[in-house]
Amino acid sequence: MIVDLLLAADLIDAVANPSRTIEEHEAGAARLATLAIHGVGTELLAPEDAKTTDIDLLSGHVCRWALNEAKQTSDRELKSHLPQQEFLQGLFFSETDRIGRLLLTEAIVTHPDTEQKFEQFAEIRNPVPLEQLPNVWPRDYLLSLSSAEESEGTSHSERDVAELGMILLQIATPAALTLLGGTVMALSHRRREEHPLVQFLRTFVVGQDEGLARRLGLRSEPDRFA
Amino acid sequence: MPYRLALVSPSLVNAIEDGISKVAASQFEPQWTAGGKKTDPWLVIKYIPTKYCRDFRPNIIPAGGPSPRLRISDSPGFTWGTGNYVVPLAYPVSTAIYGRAGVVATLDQNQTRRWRIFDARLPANQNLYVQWSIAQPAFRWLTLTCHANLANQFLRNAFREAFRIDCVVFHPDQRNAYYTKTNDDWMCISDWNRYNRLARGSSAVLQTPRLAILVSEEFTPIGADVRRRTMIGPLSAMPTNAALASAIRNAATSGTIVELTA
Repeated sequence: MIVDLLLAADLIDAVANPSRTIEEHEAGAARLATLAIHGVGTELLAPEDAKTTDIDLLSGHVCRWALNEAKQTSDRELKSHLPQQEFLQGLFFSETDRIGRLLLTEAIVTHPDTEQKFEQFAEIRNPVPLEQLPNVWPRDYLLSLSSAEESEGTSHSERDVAELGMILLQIATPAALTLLGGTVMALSHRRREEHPLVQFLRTFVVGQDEGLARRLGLRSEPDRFA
Repeated sequence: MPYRLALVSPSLVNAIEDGISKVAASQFEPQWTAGGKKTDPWLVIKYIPTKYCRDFRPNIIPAGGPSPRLRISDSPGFTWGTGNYVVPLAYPVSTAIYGRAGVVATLDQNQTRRWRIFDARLPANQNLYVQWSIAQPAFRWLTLTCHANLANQFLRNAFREAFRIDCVVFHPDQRNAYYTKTNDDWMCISDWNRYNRLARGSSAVLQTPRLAILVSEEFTPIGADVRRRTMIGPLSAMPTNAALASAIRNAATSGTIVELTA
């Protein structure tokens, strides 16, 4: 049970819920500043102990807000950690709107925990297999989608891979692009070129950003100068 | 950690970089030093609700103790995304519509001189931002969603992170006939975390925030309009911006509080 978050849910809703007014958001932010002055570490509200049974207790806005709270200014020590992958997966499935899924994925892959684990891949020039990447959500989900597609060729998993791939491209941080490159690698060789994600990526990236194309494994010919 | 990729053509990246490089922080120096001399501290104001202003009172903050910090705004309703929305001292009451308590903060001049500023007042720069957003891979989703505020916040944050923009200057998008003029300059100021993402929580950029002005007025939205109505006044003619800037600067320096009853 994420007790702290539950206790603070009403307070956090004032800053996290987009249907609140700007005045309500600002009043909520000022109240949090006051709490911080009195020693309450609001960054500790990250739901690292959350269980899948907690998902329906809080709104998606509050969960995303809590994840984003870990992005503290550089002089603040990182204290919060990501929740278990089961919780994040459940949260992702509970988002009924793809913008909600985009924002949730962004909150996870730009969480300092993830950024730290992917720091070593920040400057890579070629894709790395998903299996060799840090075990951060959505790595295993992408692996399961890719293997499901390999064995069953379902349009359902094809659509899910395409959507999550698009989300990772849009986020465009080193962690997101490394996961995307691994996803492209994981797609079956036989059908890769027909996959809607690869087709979109080829249209979007190749010819515009060759460095990114290579990083995603989309170059058709080896780079003679690499 | 590298910044977010811009995901647009090199020519558009260059045009946006060119737009940023043309804006020097020094051109805002007169606004930040308003009410003082050229060598005085660079000051900005953020207005907050009065019920949370007590801890910023200069006579309550313990001498030598930790300074309170302003919280970075994460409201999806704000135009330019996550950041601290302030006004330079030259527009001393322009954002009072968001709260009656004006907290004055100081900008580090060495850091601020190196700011990358996006001047969103200029139509040319507005066009560049629109071109960038249309070129984003998920633009169709971001446009078709019912969560327009969230989509807007995502795009603005992504743009600012991709181009490492420390400050966006823009004209007010909310109005009050007496306090907020259409040609005032507002600023959305970025705090960064160690991974070069926009930070949340307490601001480190806005230093030594102190309560310096209390406005004797209440504001309320006019329906769902962008305008904010004054509930009490005006009771008298508003002092000039220059006179108010000078009074607020003196108050911030001397640890007192200006009470504005206009």
